[in-house]
Amino acid sequence: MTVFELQPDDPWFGGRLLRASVSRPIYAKGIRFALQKTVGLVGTRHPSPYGAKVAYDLARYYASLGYVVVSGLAFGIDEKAHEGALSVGGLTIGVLGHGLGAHYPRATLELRKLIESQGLVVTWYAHQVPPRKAFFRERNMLIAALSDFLIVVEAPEKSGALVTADFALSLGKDVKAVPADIDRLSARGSNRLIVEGAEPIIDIPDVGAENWKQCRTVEELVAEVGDFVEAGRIIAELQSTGKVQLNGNMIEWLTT
Amino acid sequence: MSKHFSEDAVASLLVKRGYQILAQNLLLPTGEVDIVALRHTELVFVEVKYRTGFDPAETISKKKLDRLVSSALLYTAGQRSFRIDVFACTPQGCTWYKGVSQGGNCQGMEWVDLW
Amino acid sequence: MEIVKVWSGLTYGDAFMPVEMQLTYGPGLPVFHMVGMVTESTEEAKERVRYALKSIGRSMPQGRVVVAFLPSELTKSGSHFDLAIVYGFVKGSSDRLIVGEVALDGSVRTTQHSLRVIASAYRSGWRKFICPVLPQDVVGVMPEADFFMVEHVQQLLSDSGEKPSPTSSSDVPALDAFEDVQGFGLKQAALTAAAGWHHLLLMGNPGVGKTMVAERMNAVMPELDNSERLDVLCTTGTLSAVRPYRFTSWTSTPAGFFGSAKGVAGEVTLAHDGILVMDEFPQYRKDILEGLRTVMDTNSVISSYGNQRIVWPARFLLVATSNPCPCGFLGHPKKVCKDSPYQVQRYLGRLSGPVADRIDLHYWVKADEPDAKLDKPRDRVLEVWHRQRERWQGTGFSHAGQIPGDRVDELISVSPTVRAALENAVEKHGLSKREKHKIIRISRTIADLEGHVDITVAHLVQALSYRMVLPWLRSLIQ
Repeated sequence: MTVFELQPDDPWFGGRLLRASVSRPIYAKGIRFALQKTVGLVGTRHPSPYGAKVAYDLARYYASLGYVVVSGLAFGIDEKAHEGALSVGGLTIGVLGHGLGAHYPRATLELRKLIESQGLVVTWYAHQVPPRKAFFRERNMLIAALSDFLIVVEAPEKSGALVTADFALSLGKDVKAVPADIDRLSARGSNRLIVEGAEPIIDIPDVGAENWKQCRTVEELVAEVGDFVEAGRIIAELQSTGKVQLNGNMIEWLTT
Repeated sequence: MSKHFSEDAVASLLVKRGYQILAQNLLLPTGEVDIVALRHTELVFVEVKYRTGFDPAETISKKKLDRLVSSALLYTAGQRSFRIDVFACTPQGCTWYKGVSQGGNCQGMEWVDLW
Repeated sequence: MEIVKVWSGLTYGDAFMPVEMQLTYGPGLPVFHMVGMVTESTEEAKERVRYALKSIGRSMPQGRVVVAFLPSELTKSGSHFDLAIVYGFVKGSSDRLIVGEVALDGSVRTTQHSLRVIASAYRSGWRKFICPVLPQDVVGVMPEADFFMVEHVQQLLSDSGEKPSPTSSSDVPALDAFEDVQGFGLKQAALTAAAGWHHLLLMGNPGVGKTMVAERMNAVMPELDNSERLDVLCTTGTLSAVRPYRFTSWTSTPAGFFGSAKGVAGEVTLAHDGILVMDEFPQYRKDILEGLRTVMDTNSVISSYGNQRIVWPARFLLVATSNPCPCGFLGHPKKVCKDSPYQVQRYLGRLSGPVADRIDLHYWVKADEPDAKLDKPRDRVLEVWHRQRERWQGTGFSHAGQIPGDRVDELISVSPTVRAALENAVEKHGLSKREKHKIIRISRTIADLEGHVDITVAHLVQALSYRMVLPWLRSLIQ
């Protein structure tokens, strides 16, 4: 868990920040993993249970496909997105609106520590800079810049998530949105995005069964997943949903 | 057979043993005493029970003993010592419980052939 | 005045308390006194004894008869003191332990309580008994005992005892019963639980046969050995080769569940050395679940009532069943759960209380799980039992599932590479210590079932799959 400073032209960003014409340095804390494909997940701080679930599941889905999930470490959708990515042992980046020495909101402090040990927390404010309202707008800009494409899960009108979406569009990136109930205030913004041309997400494909189908033994699955706790979780899920049956360390796929 | 045949038999036994019968079927406010007898200076209050089938002594309740003691105290006006005896008679014979205390203990038991 | 001394006894929980009975009589109006905290059931001995004596042409001694039960401070109850009183009247003093109920015609009977007295007395060192005719299998669990068995009080006089009666044929557990269970994975989970004495939580939608599995699990449990059978005899007064099996409902009251201090054993005790099924686990009363925690930690129940304190044994294999949510359809392949996430969270929350935390194995039961025959399930369980008993000889534990968390690291050895992988995972996924210990315990049993000496990562993964059912359910409502 080291703190390090990255210039926008650092090869680690793969040119993402240069393309967004960012010039300020980035402060980061955590592991410097390989940044290949990224997805941004944003939304309201006060989601419905539906929004929270979808954020979690989408993050799981993309993380298990190898995407790095980028979000804002705020309460609500952001939090669920990070948790979902971590739950499958995936990588995630938390983008802060203040210096690394501060933290806001307090409810996500635990989560931030977890991300620092298994992912990366980034910001472009110096160590002791406290949060300010304007900084969060800039933070949204950084999320948009870091993401290859953006998903707005549940966002009301005039929300930070829509600001992020605007940034993403202006950078020429894809924006997708999750449809929700038309009478839900907290989802009006995300629904409107769909009307305005954002691609709606209408399905979260079940990665599990497809991804691991070639694994015939527990050892193979562990090798494939790279983490045996996650392998155990996958088996529990596949077994509980009736897709596999375990016979000793042989994984038997059931065709139904 | 008179109603009091067993009491009569007991009375004649007591006479044979040297007792003097002072009263029979003595009625007192506290109840009836079957026999009052005297030997030398010893006053004896006697309860006679006759039953066929099972031990008549079992029918002597604590209450009955209490009544006998009250009767005796009334009779002696508390001025004399006395003894309470129980005769448990069956067609086969009779058990003589001598000196029964209020608690049911006694000083001696004797099997007598009454008939 | 002559005093006759004979011995009988009482049970306190499953412990034995010898009772010396002193008989004496003196002149007086006829009374039959029993002193020494005698309850009604014992007091009634008077009439039984009187007529039993009559049946052999004897009568009660004339005058005041007193039977004193010593120590007099303990409450005496039960009809098994009759024979001792009769013996005292017809034969005099004896240093044998005399237990048995007599009928008016003089015949001598056994009662469940008298069997418990005999068995617990045997366990605390008594060897010579005068008692009713016992069945062969009861005599068999007490090989060192010298029984003088009588069928009628007449035999007390003749000194000629009876032979043990033939064992009434008890139903031997049919192994096919276990084969009735549908679902290969389910059977394996049940087998693992039985092999390592791991408490088991079976979850599933209504009607998938959770309870049925719980019922059939007894069929793969090894038969009771002699000392366990003696223990069962001490607590229940009945004997069978089959392990005890108690099915309980969430409507149970604490007294019925844990036993009362008045001498009635509760479900947890009746399930000692066997299986305790708790159907609809989350519905149980809070006081039962709280109380169960101490019972599972100490393997015994203490019940106190007034000045009496009884300790009952209670070491059972808990099999709990539960729906996933109040409506029951969470996780159903076709139907939709109608409960709010909050309701489901609350329901699942009850599955992480003090008792549920002591349950190692979780399994999700499905309706049409493919089935396959398990190979010699009972032999494999027995083999694991032998292996684990041998491994932990002298530690006081005989099954992996019984090892408490603080001794797991000491008693279950894990190779350095597997240990490293585990520690790494614990750190990365934030697994609690307790969770880690559960995984190690289950892995040990899985390795033993497969005949492996060392725990491998594959065993850890299998163990983990038994721990990840609740997280999976939670992910459905996230």
